[in-house]
Amino acid sequence: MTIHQQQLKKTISETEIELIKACKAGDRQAQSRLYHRYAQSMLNVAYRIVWNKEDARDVLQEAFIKIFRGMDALKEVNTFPAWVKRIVVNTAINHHNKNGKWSFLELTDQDTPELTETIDENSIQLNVKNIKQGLLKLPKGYRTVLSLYLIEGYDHKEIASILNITVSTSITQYNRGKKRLKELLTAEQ
Amino acid sequence: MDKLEDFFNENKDQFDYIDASENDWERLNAKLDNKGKAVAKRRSLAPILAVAASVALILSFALYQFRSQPPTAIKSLTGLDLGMQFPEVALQNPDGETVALSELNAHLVLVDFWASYCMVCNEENCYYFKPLYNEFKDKGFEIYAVSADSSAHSWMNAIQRDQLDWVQVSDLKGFESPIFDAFDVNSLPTNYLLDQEGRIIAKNINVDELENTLYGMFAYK
Repeated sequence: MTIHQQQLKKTISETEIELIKACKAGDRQAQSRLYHRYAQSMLNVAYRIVWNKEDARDVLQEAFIKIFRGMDALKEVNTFPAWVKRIVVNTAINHHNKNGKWSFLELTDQDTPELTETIDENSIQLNVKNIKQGLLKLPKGYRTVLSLYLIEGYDHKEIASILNITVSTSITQYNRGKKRLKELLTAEQ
Repeated sequence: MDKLEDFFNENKDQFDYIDASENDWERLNAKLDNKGKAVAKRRSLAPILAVAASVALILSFALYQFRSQPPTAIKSLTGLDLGMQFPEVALQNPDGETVALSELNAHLVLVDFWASYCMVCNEENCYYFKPLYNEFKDKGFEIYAVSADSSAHSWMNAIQRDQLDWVQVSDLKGFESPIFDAFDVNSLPTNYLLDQEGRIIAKNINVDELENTLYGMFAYK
């Protein structure tokens, strides 16, 4: 079971269930409270796909309009967190595709010479700040696949479907991206 | 296990790059208000809408009468076992054309019972069926998806939203439809995997088994 599937099974608090019911009835106060519970994390989910702050804010807006207008479609309240995340991810992908800024497929391997030397796992400096900066230095295709896998917890099959690439592309991008990131983290020190 | 992967696992929630601001909420709030205004405006059109609604009602009743002629009689069955011939079913697709299961020219058919409001079905469609379908549709894999929706709008909306390109059919009678009893479907999603002759190979196959079957069958084609 992937982390993403575990999230689907995760139960949500009573308070949140009440809020969701109130939102379905159109209660603006409840919408505000529910929005504020999710805004920070979902804004960053969007950012880690579009990689641009303004676009991420637009995606958040668009996604929450869909969420509040589409709440009747939500039958199983427990799936709300996963449902919200899926809407945010889909909106971000659409937004990204619409803007046509770069293609997930565009990123082929010619810009990344195959690394032959193995990286000494012990020389890698693991800290959040370096990794965040390191991710930003990677090509967007790599960093998106890495963050969908490592931060959002999707598996390769899910990523393939989200990004409309094949499972093997997702795996290749992931492995190469991870290698590049490790290399950056070694050079950082 | 990889140290980097472990590190992410433990620090997942620390990879924020951007902070939500109150301004974001204000903007959203204003947009949600606009929706309110649009509704108010629509109310002033109430008399026209009432006429339109009654016309629609008459039309939909006519359509219902037309639809309630079952395209094919479905024999009621109790229990469908592996190896049995799957009964014929013919229902309408979103374009109103009747598609019979027997018409499908495929080596392997997944009959999938789902509904637009079923989150598990939606996940399954998007994350599992879609990649497998795209990979194997040209090699002889088909999905015959029977929806338990009662609203044509929600049904078509889900198909369009998730871009479900395989065969989509429904009688739009909801989960109460006799179809679901006939095929021994008590919960959604339920699926049957059929061979070329329409015999049942598996019931409620999970995605890994399905993937293995597909690779096993079509890898060398």
